[in-house]
Amino acid sequence: MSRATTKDTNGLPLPQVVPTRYGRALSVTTPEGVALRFPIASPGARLLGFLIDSLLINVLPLLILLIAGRFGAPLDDRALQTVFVLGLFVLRFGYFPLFETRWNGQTPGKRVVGTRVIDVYGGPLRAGSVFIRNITREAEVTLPLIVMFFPHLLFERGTDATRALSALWALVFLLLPVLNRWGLRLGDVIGGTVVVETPRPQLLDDVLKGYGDEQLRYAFSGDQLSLYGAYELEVLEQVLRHVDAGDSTIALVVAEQIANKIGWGDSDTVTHDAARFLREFYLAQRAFLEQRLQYGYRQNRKRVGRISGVRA
Amino acid sequence: MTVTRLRSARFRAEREASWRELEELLSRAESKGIRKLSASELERLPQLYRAALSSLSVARETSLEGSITEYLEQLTERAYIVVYANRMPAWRALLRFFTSTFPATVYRERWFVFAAAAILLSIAGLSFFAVMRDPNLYYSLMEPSLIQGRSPATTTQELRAGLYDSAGSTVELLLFAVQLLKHNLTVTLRIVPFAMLFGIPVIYILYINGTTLGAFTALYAGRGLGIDVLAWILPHGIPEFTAVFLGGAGGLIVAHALLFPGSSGRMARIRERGASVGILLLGCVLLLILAALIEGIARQAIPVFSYRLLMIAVQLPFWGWYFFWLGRRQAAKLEEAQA
Repeated sequence: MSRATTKDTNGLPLPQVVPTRYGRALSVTTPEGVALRFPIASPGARLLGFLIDSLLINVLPLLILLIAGRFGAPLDDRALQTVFVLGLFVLRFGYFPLFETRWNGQTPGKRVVGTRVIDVYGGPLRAGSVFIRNITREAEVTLPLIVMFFPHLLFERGTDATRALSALWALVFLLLPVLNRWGLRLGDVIGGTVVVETPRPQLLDDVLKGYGDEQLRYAFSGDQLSLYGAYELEVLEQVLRHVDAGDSTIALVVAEQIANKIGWGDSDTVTHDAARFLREFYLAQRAFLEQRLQYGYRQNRKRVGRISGVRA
Repeated sequence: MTVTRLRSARFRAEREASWRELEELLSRAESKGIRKLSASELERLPQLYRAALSSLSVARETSLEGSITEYLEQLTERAYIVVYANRMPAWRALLRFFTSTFPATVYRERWFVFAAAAILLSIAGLSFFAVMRDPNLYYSLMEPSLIQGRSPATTTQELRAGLYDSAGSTVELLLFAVQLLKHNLTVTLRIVPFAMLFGIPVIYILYINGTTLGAFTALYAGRGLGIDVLAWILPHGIPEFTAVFLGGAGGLIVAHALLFPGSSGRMARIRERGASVGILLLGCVLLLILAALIEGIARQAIPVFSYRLLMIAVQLPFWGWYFFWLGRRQAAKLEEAQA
C-alpha cells in the first residue's frame, strides 16, 4: 500500500497498529483524546477460542441428540427432524452473530481465552460488521478444509492443477491472520473489526507499601542516583516483586550489579542485606527521577560507565 | 525520606478508590449486563471512566511505576468498551434495521444492485432465447441438480401437473422450506468471500443463476405455459432474486473496492465498504427466509393460479415502496445525521 495516506475517504484518521512492550497493539483515540492501545490477540488464543466455539456448535447438538435418543425421543419422526434441522441451522449461522452482538464482541470461546472483537476505529461494534465477519468464515475455514481433506466433494471433474490452485487459494485465506500485522482474517478486513486481548486489570501493591515509617538504613548521593533511568527503575520494580515472592538469589545478583555501577564501597551490605539495599535504592532512585521529571527532565535509560572509588 | 513524599505514592493514594470502584462496576456490567446497574451507578460509570482516563494520562507523563501505567491502561480499555458500547436493545436494533438501515443501504448501493440484476437478467434473456430456438440446449444451460425430472423430454401435461401439484402435510412443507432455505443461503452467502477474487466468481454465480432461470422458463414457455411458470416462480422469486441481486451487489462492491481502492489503500477501502456489504447480506438472509416460507408453504398450500397472481400483485408495489421510497427517505435522513 504505497499510496496509503493517513486519512480515509471520510476524513477519519486511519487506524494504526503500534508496537508495545508486549507485542503489537491497535491504537484507538478516544473521544476524550487519549490514545488507548488494545493488544492484538495472538493467533493461538484465537484458534483456541474458535475451537471451543465450534465444539459448542457441532458437538453439543450431537450430544443432545444422543441423550434424547437414550430417553426414547422418537428420532424418526419427521416433525422432530425438521425442528432439529432448523435448530442446527440457526445455531450454525446464528451462534457467532448473536453472541458477538449481545456480549459486545465476545462469544463463550472468546470469553474463555480472553479475546474480544472491536471496531477498528474504536466505535461501537455494528451489527453489519459482526454479521459479515462471521459469514465469511464459511469461505475461510469450511471451504479450505473441504478443499484440503475432501476435494472430491467440490470438484468431481477437476484436474490436479485446478485442485492444487484451489488448495493454494484456500490456504491463503486460512493463513491470512498470521500474514498481516493486524492479525486480521478475511472477515475482519471486510467487517472492519480487529480481535484484541482483554486482560483482567490487576492493580499490584506498590513494592514500597508499608515502607515509609521505618528508619532508612542507606543513603545515596545525587551522583549515584543520576546513573539509572526510568527503564531500569521499572526492571528493578519487577525484581523487587520477585524478591517479595521469595526469590533471594536474584536480589543478590542485582544488588551486586548496582553496587558495582554506583561505586558502593561496602560489599558487606550487598551480601548480607541485599533485599533491603535494593528496596532502599529503588525508593531513592524513584524519588530522584520523579523529582527530575517534575522539572521536565526525563531520563529513560541508564548512562554508560560507572562511578568508582566513591564511598557512600 | 519516606514513601509518602513520593508524588507517585500520593497520586495513587488519592485516586485508587475510584479505580477500584470502576473495576467493580465493570465486573458487574460485564457479567450481568449493563442494564443490571442502578441508575446512579449508570451515571457514575462514565464519570469514573473519565477519571481513570485522566489518571492514565497523568501516569503516562509522571509515573515511573510500570505496574500502575499498565493497570490503568487495561482498566480504561475495559471501561471504554463498556461505556461506548452499542446499547440499543435487540428489538429496537432489529426494528431500525428493517425500517431504516436496510432499505437505506439498498437505495444507496442501488447501482451495484442494478448491475447485478442486469448481469443476471441479460444472461437469463440470452439463455431463454437459446432454449426457445434449440430445446436441446436446455441440458447444457440448466443447473443439473435442479432439473429434477423437468426436461424437454417431459410431456406438457406432466409439466403442468408439476406447477400445480397439491400440497403435502404441514410438516412436509416446513421441511421442504427449511431445505430450500439452507440451499439458498449457502449459495448466496458464499458470494462475498468469493468476491475477494476480484469479483470474477460473483459474475460466475450470477451467470449460473441467469442461465438456469432462462432455460427453465423457456422450457415452459415453449409449451404455452409461460404465464403459468412465471406465476409459479415469481411469488417466491421476487424476494429470492432480490436476495441474489443484493448478494451479487455485495460481491461487486468488494470487487470494486479491490480494483479501485482510491487514495486510502485497498484494506482501508474494503473496510469502509464492508459495512454496506454486511447490511446487504443480513437483509439477504431475511429475504431468503421469506422466500423459503413462500415457496415451501404459502405457494404450495393453495396451488391456484389467481392466488399466485395476488401474491405477485401485492409484493411488487410493496418492495418498490420499501426500497425506493422508504429507502430513499431513510438514506437522506442518515446522510443528514452524519453531516
